[in-house]
Amino acid sequence: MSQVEPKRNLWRSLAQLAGHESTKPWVEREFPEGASEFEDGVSRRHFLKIMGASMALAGVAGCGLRKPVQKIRPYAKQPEHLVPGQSVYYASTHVVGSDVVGVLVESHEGRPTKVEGNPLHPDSKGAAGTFEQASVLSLYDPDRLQYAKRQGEKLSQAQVHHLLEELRTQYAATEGRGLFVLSESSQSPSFFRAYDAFIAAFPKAKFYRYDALNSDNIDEGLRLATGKSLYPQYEFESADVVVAFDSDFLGREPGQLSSSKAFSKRRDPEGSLGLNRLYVFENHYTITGSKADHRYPIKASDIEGVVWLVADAVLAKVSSSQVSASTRDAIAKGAKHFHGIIPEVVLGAIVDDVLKSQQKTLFVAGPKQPATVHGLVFLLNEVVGAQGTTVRYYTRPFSSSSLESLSHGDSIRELSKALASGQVETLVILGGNPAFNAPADLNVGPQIKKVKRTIHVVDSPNETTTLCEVAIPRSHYLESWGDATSLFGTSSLVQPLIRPMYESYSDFGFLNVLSGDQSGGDYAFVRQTWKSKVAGDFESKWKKWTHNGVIETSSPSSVSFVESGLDARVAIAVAKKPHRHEGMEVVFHQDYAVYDGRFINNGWLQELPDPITKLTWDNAALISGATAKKLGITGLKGESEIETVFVNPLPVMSLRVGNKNLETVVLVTPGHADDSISLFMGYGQKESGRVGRESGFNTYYLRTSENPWIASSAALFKTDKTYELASTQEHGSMEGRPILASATTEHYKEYPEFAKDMEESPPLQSLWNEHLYTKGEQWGMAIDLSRCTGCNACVIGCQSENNIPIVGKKEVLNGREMHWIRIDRYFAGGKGETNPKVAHQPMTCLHCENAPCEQVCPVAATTHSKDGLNQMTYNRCVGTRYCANNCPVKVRRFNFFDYHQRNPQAVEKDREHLFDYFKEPDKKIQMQFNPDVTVRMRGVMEKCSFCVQRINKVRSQAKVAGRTVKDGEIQSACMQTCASDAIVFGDINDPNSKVSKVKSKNRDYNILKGLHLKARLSFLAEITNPHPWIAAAEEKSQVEEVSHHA
Amino acid sequence: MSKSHQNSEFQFPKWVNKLPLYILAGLGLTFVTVVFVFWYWGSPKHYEVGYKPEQPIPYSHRLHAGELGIDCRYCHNQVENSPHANIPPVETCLNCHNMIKTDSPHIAKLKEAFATNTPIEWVQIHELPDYAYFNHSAHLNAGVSCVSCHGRVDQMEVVHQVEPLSMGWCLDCHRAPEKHLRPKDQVTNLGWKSENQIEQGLALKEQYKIYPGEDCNICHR
Repeated sequence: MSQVEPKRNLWRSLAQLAGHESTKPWVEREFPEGASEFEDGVSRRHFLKIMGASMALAGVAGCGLRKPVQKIRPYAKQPEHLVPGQSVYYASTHVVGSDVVGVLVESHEGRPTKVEGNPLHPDSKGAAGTFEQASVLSLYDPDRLQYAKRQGEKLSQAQVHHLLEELRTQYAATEGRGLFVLSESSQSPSFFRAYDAFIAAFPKAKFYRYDALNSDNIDEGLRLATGKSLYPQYEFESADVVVAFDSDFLGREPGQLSSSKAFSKRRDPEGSLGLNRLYVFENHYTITGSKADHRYPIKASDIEGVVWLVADAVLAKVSSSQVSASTRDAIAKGAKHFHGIIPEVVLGAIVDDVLKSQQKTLFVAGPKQPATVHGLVFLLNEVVGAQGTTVRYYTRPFSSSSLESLSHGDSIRELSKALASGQVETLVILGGNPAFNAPADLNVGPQIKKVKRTIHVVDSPNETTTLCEVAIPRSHYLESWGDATSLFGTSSLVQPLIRPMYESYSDFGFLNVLSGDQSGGDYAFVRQTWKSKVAGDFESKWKKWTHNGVIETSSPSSVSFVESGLDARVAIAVAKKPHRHEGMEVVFHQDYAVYDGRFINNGWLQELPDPITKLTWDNAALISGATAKKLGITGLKGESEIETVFVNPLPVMSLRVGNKNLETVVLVTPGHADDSISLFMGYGQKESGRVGRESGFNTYYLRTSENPWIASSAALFKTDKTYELASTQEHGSMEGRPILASATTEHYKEYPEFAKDMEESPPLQSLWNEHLYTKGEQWGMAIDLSRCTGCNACVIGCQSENNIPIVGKKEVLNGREMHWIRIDRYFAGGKGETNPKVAHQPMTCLHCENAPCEQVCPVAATTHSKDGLNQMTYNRCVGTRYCANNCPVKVRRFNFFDYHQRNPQAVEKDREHLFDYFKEPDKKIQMQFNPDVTVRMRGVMEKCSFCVQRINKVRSQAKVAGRTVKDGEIQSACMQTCASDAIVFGDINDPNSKVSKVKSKNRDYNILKGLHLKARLSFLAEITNPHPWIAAAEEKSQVEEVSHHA
Repeated sequence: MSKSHQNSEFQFPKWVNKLPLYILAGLGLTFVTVVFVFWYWGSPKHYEVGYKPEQPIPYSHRLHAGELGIDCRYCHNQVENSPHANIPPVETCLNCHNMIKTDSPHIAKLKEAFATNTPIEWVQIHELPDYAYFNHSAHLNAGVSCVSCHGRVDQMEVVHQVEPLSMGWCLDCHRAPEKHLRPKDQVTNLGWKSENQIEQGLALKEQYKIYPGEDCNICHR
């Protein structure tokens, strides 16, 4: 047995590893003591008193009272093809930054309710990420700007028209002198057409664009190397070896969904393509790092050094006509500065892998790394011959436009100069929040305030809006027509599903009004854009495009070229003498939840636990344990003896970069590089809506135009303050039982059944006669841990499908978050391990055939259905919570409150009957609710239902059509959205179904099988593919360490 | 004597001994009454059945569906495809009433609703709780007639509720569907009667493969 079980020490947090007592309550019980008490001064006794009184009243008034009268309002003129009660899907496109994702949006009688991936879109292929799926909530956000305002006073639509007309005539006379526009970057061909028309109408006007999260460095690096404006597309499917330098390609970079899809195919040990090998160098744990076979925490500023070393080592072994001897020497010289930052054996292993896989190697660098790195990475990919196999280059769409001639950094810098010099007479800001997220040293905010006339077209009022004279509502993508071209050349339509909720403008629609476009609205304008691009019958094509979402003009083609001037260009790049930055550095990261801060008011994203830190509602400065020790920070009073461990309340520290100080909470995380501080952008907005207010710290304050990503010479100082962070990492703890199976390829080859043998159990027998679930459809699910990246898309998919409320930071601290699916993140490694491995395990209701929860329910509210589902009947539940106590995987969620009522955006309920003195969600938010799923009240238990509403829907459709349900026809929300195809759902009674085939694999295992649960949800063990040299070296060092201790 | 007299003055009379019994009996009676009141008046059978609200337009099902013999599905045209039996849009009414009885003030209301594109606010009669999901198409396609739940609507001048629509009532049929099954082509023929319902029902159950579940999540989700 012991030889079968891989050596793994799994833990959720540093506090747990150190055995700190703060984690014990989470292990022993699901909710901390007193969690069932009411807050806000309402005691249980007081509550009973109130309830008693209202029950008595109800008794009196209840006689003769029927249900409240409900009205049915059928259409006066019913739209064609609309069937009341059946949802309709429309194809559209979601764009965030430069990531274009084709989506399908579900509409119930004209209300968009859920966003899913569009299977016809070649980039995302049916997957959708967290931002896409959460975007529907932003549409209904009651904190959106609902009408135009001037200095806080409402403007009528006529007044807005008048204002814009005035502007137009004024600047038509001066050719636009003094008129400045700042927009976010756009991927829309129609936007660029409108831009061209705008510039033609006002030739002297100035137009800038700025995104806080941009790819300036990649653009510059590739231009440095090739002289062209390119963007790389990685073909992970054909890459045997991937080396990632500070790149989170599975999580935060454009095309992450297609990357995840392709990458996951190479993490399937039974797949036809075989396992790939991933090396990752990064300063903090990312989800890409968590999938790495070899991951090294390196200071972000040292990663450039790693690239030099790798380039040197590879060029020494691989000959290429593209690189001359002198360049090679220059690279060798540069690499010398960095010797020793990564172990020699790693370099050796990488070179070994490169030699073996040749053109099937792929080097990737992230947008935070400087241009030189991207130049060198391009060189590396050229040298191994990756171009055309694992990497393709696409000419950046719109790169010929004058708007794209300046980088984001230069663009905002120039605008700031113009603002300072007083040239700006009128400033129009299209979307964005430059006062908040522009580089702090440029002082854009205070300068905006000085401008005579400022107009902000904005979705939701923010810092910039308060500084502007006029604010005008901006359309959500689900309420306006548009288009988008992805970095990889696919164009798709943005199709609205709902009439604009307010009198709002799209970006290009607003420009068109300014420049006096006569085409008559966004729809006509978009059509015009595309009509000019295709020959022949436009109408039928347009119909097809709106149906499929994807515009099929000419198929996008990559640029293929042999770079002749590469050597000379690289020589220029490497001539800059590289050097190491000593001391503490600060790195600015994109946040997994709020992007650049634009999703701050989206409750789903706010409450989404970070994939690694499991933080909700806040950002924190991440540091390593060793750094904390060096700084003398101890999280626990009087426990400085043990390893530096952090539990709430956490210390707030003053972080100094340059001459600026920011007070922020500091969190020690495993696997972080030493002398490095990771900051996440977008939090700490003072002017956001009710949900996002008061969350986190504004790290943009420290970000300068000189060092937008990595700033050196930072320092941390202690303060007396503390701060509480709501992290879910301890919640649902499993007390070290063997839950997670993982092994290397070698181990797996030797013991194919290792996952099944992980847990020993006596012969299992039930206490009573077991039901036999052998007839008809029997639903089951398998989750492949090898494929799962922990990206959280399934969590949001589930939340939007099943009307799951958000609970707020305070309630998360109480362990009451309501997500039906949680992703358990485990660190693996012993005490003192500075670079533990990470594994993700999505955990949801197992739908046990012998369900422990069912056995203890006193009112039979949770029972088993014939098709093997563990059903939860809300209206029967009396809230004893026995089931949750008896659930071995802690996946049952209890409504301690009616969380919809407690949402900061809740409103007073319309009183329909006596009991209606409560609150309810804002009427607009209610429009998002899925009508096929019950909205739960306070006091009932809930949990994953395997999306039974989808099962029922497909089943009755099949029944009506007189056929049986096809395999794959029923997709649970989590399975449908998973970019990595890690989740498979289906009929386990059908031996030919996909789920049966997956479950028959060797690495399929049931957790806690000693409890004889007979769970319907099983997991597939994670298989990693380490390089044998490194594995051997690591084992050796471990042995040495042990003998050293002995 | 005086002492005993005094005593008797402060003694409880004999009947007091039986007081606990009376109280108990009284309580028992109250209990039974309360239970009965709730069981009878509190049940949907009492306070749901017979619900007959006034509608904004006095549309007569008796006239249209009964006398004129218009099929249910002429107006409720999505009932076979959708969980909802749709209330027809104003357009459907005007298909005929563009020509017929145009001088009626109610038809004028319809025309106005159509012209202004505002819905007519019908009062819902058959109302299930929000946590119960009923699918019209599934039942119709299984050979369950409209009449099983809605009664002889074709004879109602003003539609009212005839069945309690309670969970127990649903389960009665789910447990013995043969009592209500009929050939699929007769589902909207409200007057149809089988000569031998149980026998024919059982045969149809076989033929249509009707296995109505009793699992909670068939209706609650």
